[in-house]
Amino acid sequence: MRFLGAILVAAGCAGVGVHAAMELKARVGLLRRLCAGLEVMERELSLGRTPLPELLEGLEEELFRAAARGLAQGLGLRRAWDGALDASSLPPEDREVLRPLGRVLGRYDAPGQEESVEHVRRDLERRLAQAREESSRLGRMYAALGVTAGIFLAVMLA
Amino acid sequence: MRRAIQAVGALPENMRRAVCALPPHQLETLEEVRLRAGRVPAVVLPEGERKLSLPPVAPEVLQDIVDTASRWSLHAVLPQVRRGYLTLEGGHRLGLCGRAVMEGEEIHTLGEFSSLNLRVARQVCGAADDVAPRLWEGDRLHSALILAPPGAGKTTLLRELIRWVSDGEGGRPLRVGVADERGELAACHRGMPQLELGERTDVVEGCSKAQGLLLLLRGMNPQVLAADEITAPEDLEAFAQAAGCGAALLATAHAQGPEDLRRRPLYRELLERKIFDRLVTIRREGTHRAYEVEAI
Repeated sequence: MRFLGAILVAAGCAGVGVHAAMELKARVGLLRRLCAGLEVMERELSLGRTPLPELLEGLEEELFRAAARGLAQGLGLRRAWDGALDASSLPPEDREVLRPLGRVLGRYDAPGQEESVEHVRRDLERRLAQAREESSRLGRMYAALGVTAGIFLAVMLA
Repeated sequence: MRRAIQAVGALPENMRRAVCALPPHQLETLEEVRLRAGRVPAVVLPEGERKLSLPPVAPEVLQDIVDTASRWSLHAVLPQVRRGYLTLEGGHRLGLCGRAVMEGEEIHTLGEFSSLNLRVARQVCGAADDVAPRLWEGDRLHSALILAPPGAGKTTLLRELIRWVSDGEGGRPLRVGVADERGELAACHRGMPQLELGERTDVVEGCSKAQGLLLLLRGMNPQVLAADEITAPEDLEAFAQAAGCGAALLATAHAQGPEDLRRRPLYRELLERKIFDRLVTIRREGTHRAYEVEAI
């Protein structure tokens, strides 16, 4: 019985460590997709003159599509964008980088919007580089710490 | 009534409800909904302007209406905004008033909206019934210039003539190219003409009449070319070029009648170059309109 408990504690600790590492990785993936989406947005604004609902709907990342759904429900851009951001898995500090777009998109001419989107994308790219570095540095450490702490506790309990 | 209900779809819920609560005969004849910052919304009916039972309009509500009407895409509708309106689904128009942001001598955009005017679009079917048969001579359609003072129904008649010719009513159907500089003839919304212009009609909008006519000539092989309001020498040149290509022409001009037309240098040249061979004059007779067709 004590042995079984020790094994469960070890597995739990390892799980927490691995989960933390995976969260770091997921953030990298999400930021990467958002940067790619913003780049497409800039191109569409400069070349396509595509209306915003179609533009958002056509982007792959779920956050953009959630905003498009909000627009279709008649929420208005600001509320639709804020709602999509708050429902996303992005950490609060990343959300705040994206939030100003809800006040800019669709309200200015194409060059004005492009400039704002580019500004946000550059900010996000900096955060992406930071997240990548954190993921490779801390990811493995979190996983290793989790497993080690688990073994340590298991040994103590057994 | 259906047209009015469709038009007010662009307004917030409370305004929509207030307009839809008007008696059916008023909804049927609703012409405009006027919204002014800090003032109570009003509707314009044939008998005059009438206030709605609503609180004064806040400026941010005007911005919200413009955002919704432009589908949060100012970048896609900027040419219209610069001209002071937005075309809505159904051909209705939202007239814009506010602070103009200038770029040199030109209006770059409008912001800080102070007034909006929602104009309900209605198509007057049958306006050309009297005129169209008189423009055909055997298998040939004459080029016609419609003359009337502002507000007499030139655009309505031109639109109906285009539909008539394009659908082949009273003659063989012809391909019509329309240079709709101000979006008043077709009122395109997302590429779809919102006012009926017939089966065989191609519309170019957003550019000058001269540019539009040449674009249509180059790409769409039109048998008839139409444009509203000849006002500049470039328009005249474009029509002259189109006439030289064998297309029949339909256009309008601000004038009381043929004599008034002959007094003005631009139009005198138009007549001398024999670009058009029929003049259609609209005269108001009480609530009715009479049409005179004269060979040049």
